[in-house]
Amino acid sequence: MSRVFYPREDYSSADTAYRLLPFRFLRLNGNDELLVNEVGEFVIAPVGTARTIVQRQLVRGSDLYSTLKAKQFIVDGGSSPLLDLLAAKYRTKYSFIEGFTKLHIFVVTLRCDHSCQYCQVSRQTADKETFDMSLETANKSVAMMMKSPAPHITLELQGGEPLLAFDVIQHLVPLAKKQARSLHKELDIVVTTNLANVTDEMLFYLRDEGIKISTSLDGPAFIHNANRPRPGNNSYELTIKNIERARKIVGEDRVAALMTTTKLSLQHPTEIIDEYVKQGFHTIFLRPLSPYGFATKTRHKTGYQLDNFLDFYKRGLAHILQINRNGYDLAEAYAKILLTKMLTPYGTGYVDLQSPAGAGINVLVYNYDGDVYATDESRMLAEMGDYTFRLGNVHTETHREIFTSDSFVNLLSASCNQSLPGCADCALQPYCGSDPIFNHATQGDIFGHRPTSNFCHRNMQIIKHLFELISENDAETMRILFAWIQNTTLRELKKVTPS
Amino acid sequence: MKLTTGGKASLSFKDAVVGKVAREYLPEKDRSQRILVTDEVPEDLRQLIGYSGFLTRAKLERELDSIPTISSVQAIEHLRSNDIVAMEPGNGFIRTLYRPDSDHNVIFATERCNSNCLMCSQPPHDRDDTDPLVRRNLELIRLIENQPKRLVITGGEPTLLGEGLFAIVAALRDKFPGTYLHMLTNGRVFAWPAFTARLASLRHPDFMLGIPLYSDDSSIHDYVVQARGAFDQTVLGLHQLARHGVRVEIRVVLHAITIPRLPQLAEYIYRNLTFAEHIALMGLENIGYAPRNMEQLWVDPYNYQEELESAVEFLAMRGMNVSIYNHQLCVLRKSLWKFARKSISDWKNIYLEPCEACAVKDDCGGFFQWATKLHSSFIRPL
Amino acid sequence: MSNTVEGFRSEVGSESSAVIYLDSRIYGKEAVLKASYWFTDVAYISFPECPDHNLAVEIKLKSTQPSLENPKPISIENLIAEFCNSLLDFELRHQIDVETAPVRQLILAKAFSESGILEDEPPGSVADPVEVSKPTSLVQILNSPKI
Repeated sequence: MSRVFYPREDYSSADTAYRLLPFRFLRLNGNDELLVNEVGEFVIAPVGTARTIVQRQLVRGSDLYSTLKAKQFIVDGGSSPLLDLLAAKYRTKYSFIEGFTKLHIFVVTLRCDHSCQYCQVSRQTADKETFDMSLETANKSVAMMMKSPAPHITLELQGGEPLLAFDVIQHLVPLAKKQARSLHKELDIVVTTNLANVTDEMLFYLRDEGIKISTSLDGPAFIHNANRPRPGNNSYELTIKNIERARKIVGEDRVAALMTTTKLSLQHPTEIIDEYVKQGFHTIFLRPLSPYGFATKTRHKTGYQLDNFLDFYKRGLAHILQINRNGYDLAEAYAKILLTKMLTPYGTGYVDLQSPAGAGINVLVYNYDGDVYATDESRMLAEMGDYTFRLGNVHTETHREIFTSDSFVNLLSASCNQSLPGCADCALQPYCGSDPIFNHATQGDIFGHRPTSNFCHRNMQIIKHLFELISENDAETMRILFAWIQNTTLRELKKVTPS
Repeated sequence: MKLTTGGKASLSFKDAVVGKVAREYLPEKDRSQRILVTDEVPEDLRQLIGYSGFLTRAKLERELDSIPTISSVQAIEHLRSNDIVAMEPGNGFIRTLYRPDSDHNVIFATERCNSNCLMCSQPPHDRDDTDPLVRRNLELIRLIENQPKRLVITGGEPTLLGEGLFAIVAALRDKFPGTYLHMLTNGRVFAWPAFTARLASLRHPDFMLGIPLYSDDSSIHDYVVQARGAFDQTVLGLHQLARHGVRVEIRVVLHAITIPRLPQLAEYIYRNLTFAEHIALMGLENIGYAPRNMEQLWVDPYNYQEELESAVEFLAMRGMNVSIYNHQLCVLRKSLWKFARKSISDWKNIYLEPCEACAVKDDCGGFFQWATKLHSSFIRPL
Repeated sequence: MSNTVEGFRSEVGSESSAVIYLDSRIYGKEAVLKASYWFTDVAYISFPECPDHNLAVEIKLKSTQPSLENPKPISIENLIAEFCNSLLDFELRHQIDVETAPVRQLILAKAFSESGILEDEPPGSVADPVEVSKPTSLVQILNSPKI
């Protein structure tokens, strides 16, 4: 019995017809079109390729044909559609839903010593009794947090300025840890603080309890102090001094900084970024200004056009890439989230840019008075009298009642961009998300109006910009981006890649 | 390095014998399961009593009925005491199954295969050797004394043994739980969840499957392995294995058919087979089927460094483990040296004449012994 | 320019208004609505009644004067051209949707179902010539009930 070898033609389908698998397309620029399949795998091809595919004019045996088949855009008679493979990849993309609510934000007090222009919280400078979370509320909130099925949860201590209610924190932390242990849950704790009032005692406590610090740094002094006024107008100096102290006591890698963008910030992307480098941070998050709370009232101080932000972002990103090329590791957090969705098989659980939206599903907010909100922004709306996204109260509703409340169920109906007008056909759908609360706050309804939506315009422009960057295929740029995605340094990456 | 030799099997030798080599005469109590190997036939034939078998270079004057014998053996220098060998009746083959002092021992499962790769280094034979080989391998495992660091199950296609394969893996799990077990398979049968579940349920503590994938294009892969539908089965099989918690490695043999889409294959592996613990990019072996298909297969490795580096960069940058096997350092770009491994089993590993003057010879994996016939035109000392 | 696209005819009424007549045998209602949706930031769009095979799209630009919100307002001619492109794209998307909606449902159903429930049978055979001539334990294992 001797075996025979068969030629190549025997292994392709004789029938030249092919079937389509689901995909979307979008024009990137004058020359290029972006084709995206159901799980976010993409092909950048000449404009008109989508039409060529649909009209069955693809050249059999061409490179493009092979690629489209491999990436599950088309399937021909020579092989099975491998739908179970697509389903498995889909599951991977959405695995961030697993476990349900993972981020639990506790507003331990509304009191604060700053008067930030963009603050979305009442600025109460006195009356501890009224504006701190009571112990009963804390207990009930922790109990509700533990009802989440997630095996790994994060407790985020917020405010106002949470350190002003340090006693509440000292009650909350051991309580949460004990209950997490008994339920075999992993618990991370982070405190978002301006550090203005932090004492050594507090820092030792944070260190001993393994609590991470997230503080605010809006840029160099002239920007930071303009954005964040306080008595003495020394927010910047205090912040820098206390970041130093915190790093020494709590640990270098346990102090992170976030910036908030204002009209003033928009004119100074490079100065802000250079400040982060100067202070030794390795991540910066170029966030747009959120349209909630006091920002809406003080729009004449902080209002700006989206296009100015986009210009700020692009200039900032270019500057950050150059800083990386010059040898300093600095990741841009928003790009990292988007790039993870674009370039890896994984999804991300960043609550403001996911579909289904993170509200309730991935994050829950427990206010000082026991009210439970779907997101932090929902709470800010309530500060202005809009209780649309208040889901209940820990003293009066159970976990089940919170998640079957009308407001939550309503929210869900607008949470998936797969079914939103405009988004349903958009090629960028797997990389983008939905934010019903943003829609409600800016456009008056949870579904939103895509052509006039800042959320849509901003994300579309940034994602397209990143695709342009990727299609340039500069080796060093790609290395930098993957160092971000993999949470490693360029130097470490160079060790394990050809060099 | 020789692993097979042969001679004249005695007529009364009917059933295959597996035993441990003895190069010296042993006291009677130690002869059980031992195969005596000598240059000459002993004067007193009682000195053969108790051994499982007898191998000799000598030509026999008359038949030996008392003990399974192979005489006029071509070569015995390679046979060391405690090597485990199989004696085959009829054809008189003597196969070395196991060498205790080697790190490259193989459990040969079967010559059967359900693929027919153009470059197969161990071409299949369509003969049902299942039962004899399962018996032989179980006997082999019984005879191995000290726990080996690693063992490789190969063939042909080992999964064709069915229950026999599970028996072998279970025996290894029980006797040598500390041995790293690697199995080379085309992975196709694992598309059937029932089979995968059976293998996973064995719970071998240190087990990995090496499974080849030759293209992201199913028709190219199917052509290379000469089996319609193989790509689909292999990919589905890999997913079932991952789901059942079985570790996998992807292997790619580099030649003229697989090189053009190698970067695209890297992307395919990353997106679809992210769970792969390791990816081995392997140089072509000029043995088995390869010589007869060489016109379609040959490309000088020096000339595909662009595609190779692109694929390695793609995978490594995304955190996948990549190695390059069977390539010489003078042929590889320097940027790829850190991925090159000394991968060639000792018994088939050689160096060529220019290598003697090479400064990095000790770091270089060298060649397969059949490379003397065909190798890169760019071999030179560095 | 719009005259060269089949079934697409436009009549410009003024610098801020126009009516586009579409042959409804070529352009489906869905594509027309979806294309129109994306222009509702800069125009008011309505669909006056039209005889037989035509769909009419009436476009009224919200503004022709530059403002802070809209520094470079689009001209009616450019809008018609962009509308045409958009309509062609949405018609293509509709075609893809029609062809792939059922398989998309299936993929999602598989993704959200329990392991093994909606899985396809593996394709083809893995038998070698020996197995074909004399089935062994392999076939039994492949066909054994799932655990």
